[in-house]
Amino acid sequence: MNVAILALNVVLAIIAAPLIDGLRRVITARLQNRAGPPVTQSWHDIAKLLRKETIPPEGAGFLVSVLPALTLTLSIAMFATISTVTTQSPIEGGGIVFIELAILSAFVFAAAGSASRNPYGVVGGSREVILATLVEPSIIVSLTTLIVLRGSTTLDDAPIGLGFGVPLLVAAVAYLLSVLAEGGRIPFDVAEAESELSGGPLMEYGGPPLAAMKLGLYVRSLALFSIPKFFLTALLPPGSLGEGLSVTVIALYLASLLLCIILVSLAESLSARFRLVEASRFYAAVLALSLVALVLVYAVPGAR
Amino acid sequence: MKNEIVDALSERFPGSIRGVTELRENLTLLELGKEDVPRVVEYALGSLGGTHMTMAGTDYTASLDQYVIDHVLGWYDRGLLLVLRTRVQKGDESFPSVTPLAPCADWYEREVKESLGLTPVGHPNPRKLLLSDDWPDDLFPMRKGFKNEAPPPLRRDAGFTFNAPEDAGMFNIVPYGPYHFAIHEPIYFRFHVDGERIASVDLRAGFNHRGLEKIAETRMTYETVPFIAERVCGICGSVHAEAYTQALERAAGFEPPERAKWIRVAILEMERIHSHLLWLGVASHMVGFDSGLMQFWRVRDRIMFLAELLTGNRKQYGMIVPGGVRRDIREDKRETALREVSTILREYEELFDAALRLGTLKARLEGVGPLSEADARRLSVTGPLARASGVSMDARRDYPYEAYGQLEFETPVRGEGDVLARTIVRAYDTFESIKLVKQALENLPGGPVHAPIEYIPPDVTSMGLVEGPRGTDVHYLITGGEDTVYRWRVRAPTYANLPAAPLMLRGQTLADASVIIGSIDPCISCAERVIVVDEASGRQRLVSGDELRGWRA
Amino acid sequence: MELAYLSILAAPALIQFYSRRIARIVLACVGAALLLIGVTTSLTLQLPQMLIIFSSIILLLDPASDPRVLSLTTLVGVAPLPGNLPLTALALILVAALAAKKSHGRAALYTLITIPLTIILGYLGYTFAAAPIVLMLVGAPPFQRWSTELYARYKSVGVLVALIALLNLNGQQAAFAPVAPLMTALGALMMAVGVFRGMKSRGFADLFSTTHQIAFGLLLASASLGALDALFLYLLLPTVLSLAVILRVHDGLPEKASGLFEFGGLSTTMRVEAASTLVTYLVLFTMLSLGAEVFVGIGLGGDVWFIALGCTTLVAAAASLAVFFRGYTLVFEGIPGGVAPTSGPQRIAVAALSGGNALIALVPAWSLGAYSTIGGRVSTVAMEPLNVLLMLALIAVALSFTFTLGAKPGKARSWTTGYARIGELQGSRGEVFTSWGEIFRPLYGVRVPDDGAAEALGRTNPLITLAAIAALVILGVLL
Repeated sequence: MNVAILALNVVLAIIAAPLIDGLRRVITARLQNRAGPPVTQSWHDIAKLLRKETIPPEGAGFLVSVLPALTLTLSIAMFATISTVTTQSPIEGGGIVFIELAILSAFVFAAAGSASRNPYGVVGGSREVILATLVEPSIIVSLTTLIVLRGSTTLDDAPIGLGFGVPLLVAAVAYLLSVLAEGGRIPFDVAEAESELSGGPLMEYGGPPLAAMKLGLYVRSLALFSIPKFFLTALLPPGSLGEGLSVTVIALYLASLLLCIILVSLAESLSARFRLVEASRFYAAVLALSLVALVLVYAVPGAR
Repeated sequence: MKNEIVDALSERFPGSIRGVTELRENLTLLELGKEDVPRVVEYALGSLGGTHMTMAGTDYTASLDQYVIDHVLGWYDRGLLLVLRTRVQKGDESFPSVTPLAPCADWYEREVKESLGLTPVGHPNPRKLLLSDDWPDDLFPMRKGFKNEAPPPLRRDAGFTFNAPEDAGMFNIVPYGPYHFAIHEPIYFRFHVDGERIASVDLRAGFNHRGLEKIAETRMTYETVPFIAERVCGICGSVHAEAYTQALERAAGFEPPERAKWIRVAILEMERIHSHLLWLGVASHMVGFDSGLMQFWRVRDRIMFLAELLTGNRKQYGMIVPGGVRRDIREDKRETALREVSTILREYEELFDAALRLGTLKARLEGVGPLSEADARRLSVTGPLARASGVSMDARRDYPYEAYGQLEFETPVRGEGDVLARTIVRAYDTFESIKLVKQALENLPGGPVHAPIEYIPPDVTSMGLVEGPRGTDVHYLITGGEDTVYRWRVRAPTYANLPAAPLMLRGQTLADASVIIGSIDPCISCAERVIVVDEASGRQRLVSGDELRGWRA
Repeated sequence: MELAYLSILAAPALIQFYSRRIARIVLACVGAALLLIGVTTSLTLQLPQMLIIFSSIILLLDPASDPRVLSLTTLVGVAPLPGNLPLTALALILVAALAAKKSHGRAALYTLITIPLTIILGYLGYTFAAAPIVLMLVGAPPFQRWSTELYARYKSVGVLVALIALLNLNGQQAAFAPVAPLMTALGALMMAVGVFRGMKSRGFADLFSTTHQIAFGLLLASASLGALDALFLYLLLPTVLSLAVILRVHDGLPEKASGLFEFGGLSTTMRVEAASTLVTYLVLFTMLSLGAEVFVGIGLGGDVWFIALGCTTLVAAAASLAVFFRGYTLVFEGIPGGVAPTSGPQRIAVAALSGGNALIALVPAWSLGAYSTIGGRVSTVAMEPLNVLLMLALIAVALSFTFTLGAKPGKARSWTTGYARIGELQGSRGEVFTSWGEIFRPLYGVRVPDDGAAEALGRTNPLITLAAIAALVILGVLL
């Protein structure tokens, strides 16, 4: 276990995540003919929330204090399993654990909604649970496809000279679509639907707990958006990247992040919110695509 | 032909009708005994196909020892209005309730009960409507004896009983309001939900009740009432000012100058465009289509600029007064305005095409919150809500006022009765309004914009009907002496439309609740109109936080 | 160990005629004594036998458990009987127990068919003919309908029986080799079915049986393949401990309103049970995750079916959290009154079990390799799944407590506006997850094969069925 890279990832997670969210807000605003906030707005939001008072809802237990922090730490832990700006990852064999942490953090978020004893929180929490259960399969399958392509469960940037072909492309597209659904923005923010549920699970939280939860959600999105880079670095010929920090990796990372954010903003600006049943049909389609990708990886010779 | 309805009623209920008076062309008054009213109203609305317009109770105990209750019924297809007047003697303050036979009278009777103290016998649901929970039960604000000079002693044990379905334990209670992101004014809905499905709805209104009718009776003159009428609503103020002014001018037998009529049309249609653009944005936001919100409101800003150009105000124009309008439109401003209207039309058309082609948006609106034509007629709903359910009613076309008789426009009607139908009706209404504004500005006749009203006779019952963005706004007026109104009853369209909300919400999902309530385009402030102000000392009393918490009881 | 010593296990069955309570105590003592003897003296117990006796002691925690059936089942499980006799004997005992309670002719029907078939085919040398009985005892599809009813009635015995069946399956891997892929696939299917049923469960009995299905589905998937030996051995204890804890805790939740989360926040009167249940479901999640890691690890060697198995297990892990969430944040209507709330000593026992369970489940990764050498077997495939979950969970918990301590909460305020009191909202609570049923309506409408088969069999005369079996047997002998 490489403690230095681990520490780097943790710091990066906390600093970069609000920036990425700010970038998304700017792009969405421009698509809507608005000026939009500055890119650093999300930093300011979190800083402001940290200065406010924590008011727990009446009758809620200690879970209300723990769960927001847990959301944050689980999301940050997701970064501990992958390589972000370096070629090696801090931990060996973290691919499946990444998925497990993604699952766990979704459920902790839902539990936070229920723990607040507010009917909107409970309804939002239950929607989040159903949503997570529906969208996880496609993420699981597409990430597993990536693992099979790379030939190991360690999600690092060691280039392996994979040939560019249809299986890789389909797998990448399937993953992008699943992550779009996981991100919790329109059209998929069924759980948090502001105009329907007044914020769902987030409703009863304010001040530092809300800051922790929001930051946790930002970090989770960033972690999920960090995966497409692996599809790209796998294409490079073996041995072309050195150890440690790598400019190529950083460049590819930024490019893939930008792609993800643009996709999310486009989806956000061009469609209304899905209801649960409609969302589930979309997820079923994405799952089918991910399964096709997995089958292709095995069916097409030389894809691995 | 005009007396067809009266003839039919006399034939059906011989002996019940005690007197027939022609108040005005197309406005007839029938005197009835209070026992006969329920059946007559039921017959008139059901078999004769009428619409319930309003009901008002007036306190005549000082002069006649009685209360007067007027039901106003209308027939849009014939352009007829009928007032059914009945009297309740002081000492026997009750009357048989109309609601079991005609559910559209529900809210009116509850209001008469709490504001005048006349009990509707047999009303299934006689809870407080507009007054707050801690208002004392024995204090009736609309009686002439009540002087709104000081806050009354409030009850300490206040509460409100909510109706619940029989198997209430099976459902989750989801409170909706009074503060909720989706509704822009305070109102409280209580949903009983089964998972995501709404099984049952109850509502509590009255948070915006301000007492404007009482203020008009006690502290305003004929000239100043239009300005408070405008404050009934934030976005359809001119509609109320116009309705009041219409009622007053008809009572006085007064015709405003031609130019004033055309300017009034331009203003009313501008307001309609403004309201519909706002609504289209809000509806988009409620289903999660934020781009729609931003873009529709961008176009809405142009309308507000147009309004500022012509009236000096972006929203509450303050233009319509008895006798005409307050300001004239200069020639150069008229040209700029016409250009602006063309731009608005162009941008709105683009936006409308783009938005309504969006599959996800349509999917969220189609089939949601249906209201059948039968229900729409039974509840006497009005405006786009009715027109989307197949009921063709438009006060501009059927009860022509101002210059509408000389203008060309259409009234879109659709039959599906769901939220998408209401959206399309409003969207096409906007197109028609833009056409009307253009016609009005292009063909503005010359002449003065205001003429004084010489004399307003007292004790005249009069009606003003205006088609607002949300439906027909009905103002009922009884003129008094000394330059004040004796009774002024505002029936905003939302007052008639809100009772349909529980019906439309049942069986729908929680996700759609916001957009269904929004599709009525509720203007809650219009629906509730009373406050109490400490007039004697002239200061406003600030209520401390502790008191507020105590009042929550 | 010799049969003579093991036959002491019959004692509690006899004593139960006098007093049930004494029978329980006797069973516990006998079990402890046997374990002690087996570990310390030369009369050694095999690992499976130790496990079975240990499990039967733990399952005594459930006050509804029947010591007689438990002891007889244990006896059959540990006795060194040849071939498929243990399994068929178990099936017979179970049928007898069910028949004594006059229920479930369907179970009797199945055993009516499978027991003679198994004996005869076993005699002919096809030992894997016991596969249907194994599936039946474990509750795998298509028998899960029957097993639900069984486990609703005989929960602890059900766990023990399933455990013994799987240990048998694992012990005779060579004989079951032809049907090993089928068993693995059915294990995966069992997990999936368990999860779907969990999302529609209407009571805690249902919830328990779906947890049983999920846990044993994973065990079944890893029981019949030599490559997964270490995983199988590792999973045994956590499964039994988890199910024992959940059994006890579920039975002790007497009233409708006192759910685990009580509309948010751990209920003040049930902290131990609440915490134990939380820990148990997290352990379940960990087990499923570790299983998935192992499957994917093996699958990377080239076998796509293991990858598919790994994905299925991960999906089951995610969905099991959903099932837990649904079970404990909702109120089921009309939960039947529990046997009794947990008493002080029982609470201690539950806490101890949960703690031990957590320790075993979160044990560091490399011990999985060590598991492969327990019981004298050496694993054919080296496995190194990463229990990073443990490390990260620790970090998460530590950081969370830091946050919690650091943040100073203000005075609690009520969120209601007075029109909707918390008491009123709590009093009326219903289903929230109806969307799940709507989305998956076609799947839930699929009729399970055993429904149709049971109906068909129920209509035919049993004598005809017996005659048909006899004919099949004769054919088999002749060929």
